[in-house]
Amino acid sequence: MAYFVSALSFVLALMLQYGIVSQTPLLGGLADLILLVTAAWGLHQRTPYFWVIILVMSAMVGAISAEPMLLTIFAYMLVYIAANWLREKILQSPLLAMFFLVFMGTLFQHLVYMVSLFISRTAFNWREAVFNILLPSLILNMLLAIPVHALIQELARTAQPKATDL
Amino acid sequence: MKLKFSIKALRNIIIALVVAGLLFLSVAGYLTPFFNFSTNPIIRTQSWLTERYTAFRDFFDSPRDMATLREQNALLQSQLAQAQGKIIEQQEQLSQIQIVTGLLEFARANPEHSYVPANVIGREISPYQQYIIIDVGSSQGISHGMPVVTDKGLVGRIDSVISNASRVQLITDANSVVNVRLQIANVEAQVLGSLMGETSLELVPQGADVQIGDAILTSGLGGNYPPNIFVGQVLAMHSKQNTLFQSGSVQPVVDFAHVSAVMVITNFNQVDIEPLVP
Repeated sequence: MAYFVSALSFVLALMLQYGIVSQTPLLGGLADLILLVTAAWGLHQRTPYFWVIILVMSAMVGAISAEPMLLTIFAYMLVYIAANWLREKILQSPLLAMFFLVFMGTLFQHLVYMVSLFISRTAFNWREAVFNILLPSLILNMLLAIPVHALIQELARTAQPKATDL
Repeated sequence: MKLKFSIKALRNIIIALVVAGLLFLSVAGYLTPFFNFSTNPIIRTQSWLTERYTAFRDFFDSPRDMATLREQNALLQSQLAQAQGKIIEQQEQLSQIQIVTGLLEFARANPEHSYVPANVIGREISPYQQYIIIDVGSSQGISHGMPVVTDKGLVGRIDSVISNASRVQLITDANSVVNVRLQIANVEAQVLGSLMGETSLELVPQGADVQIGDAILTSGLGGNYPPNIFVGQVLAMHSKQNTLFQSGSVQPVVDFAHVSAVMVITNFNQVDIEPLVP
């Protein structure tokens, strides 16, 4: 059930991302719903093979996106691994963990993309990339972190109820 | 008897005279203050009574009226919502018709190309890349490198294809290079994209007299795009003394933020000149 619900939420997030979120930029920055959903599910899932879902979804994003597929898989998998680690360490405050994950995850993802541009010799200005793309993206992601976290938390509770919830 | 009659007659006459006098005074308006003085209290009392009665009657009648009004209001609001829905639907249809008409006119004006129309169904997830996703792919004969246009001008070219969708690299992308020709100045140059989706004009010879507003068309050099597709206009030029070339800003003719329908030129094959480059 958890696998089905999470896969469905990822597909929905992917459609929303490409259809709506990518068309509403703040300066040059964009929110990344896939990263938010990955972080939120990473904090709330309790299933052993959840990483397969993340791998498949990040591969799908990589296939659609113009960014190199390996970089997208690497970025999302790292966010998922970090979420798992945080869930075990500071599970008492999942919202705080979500904020931390989204903040660090966005910084890391953008750094990876910038390094990729640098390596591919694309002409770009670091200052412009940081102030017009990274920071607005960070703000959008932090703003969307709260509703996405709340939604995924509810979905996770419904999909994989604890013994105490039953 | 006679005296009695005469007294009675006299009294009647006096009464008649008094009445006639009062009538005369009344008609002449001399009694108005008196009438006002005497009728005002009556009118005030009547008004007070009527107001109280009306309020009393409304108190019992109004709930029924309110219910009727609410029903009518709900009905009208429902009708208004339906009408607004129809208007929005018709505006949407009109907008679609205008887009399709524009594309058809462009296709008629440029009959040397074959076109496949497509809808834009998504945009790139990465803010560092300027790409759109369209709803036609290899099943519709689309392949890598085909130019993509709107009725206004050049959009970009097909970057990757699956069976029913394609990814289009916009000319605003940081990795995009379009070889162009300035119509009035009659010189070759290049239009480059940038990280923020702005386009610039590069490699313009120093001696060229480029005017603001000069039309920029594809030159066809390099084999990436067919010639004479409108790209944009020169917005500003920057020239430094110790450089070989001038550069400038370009106002693209296509509004990339709101492009919703495009056409893929299917009878143009990108020429790969890489093996010829020394």
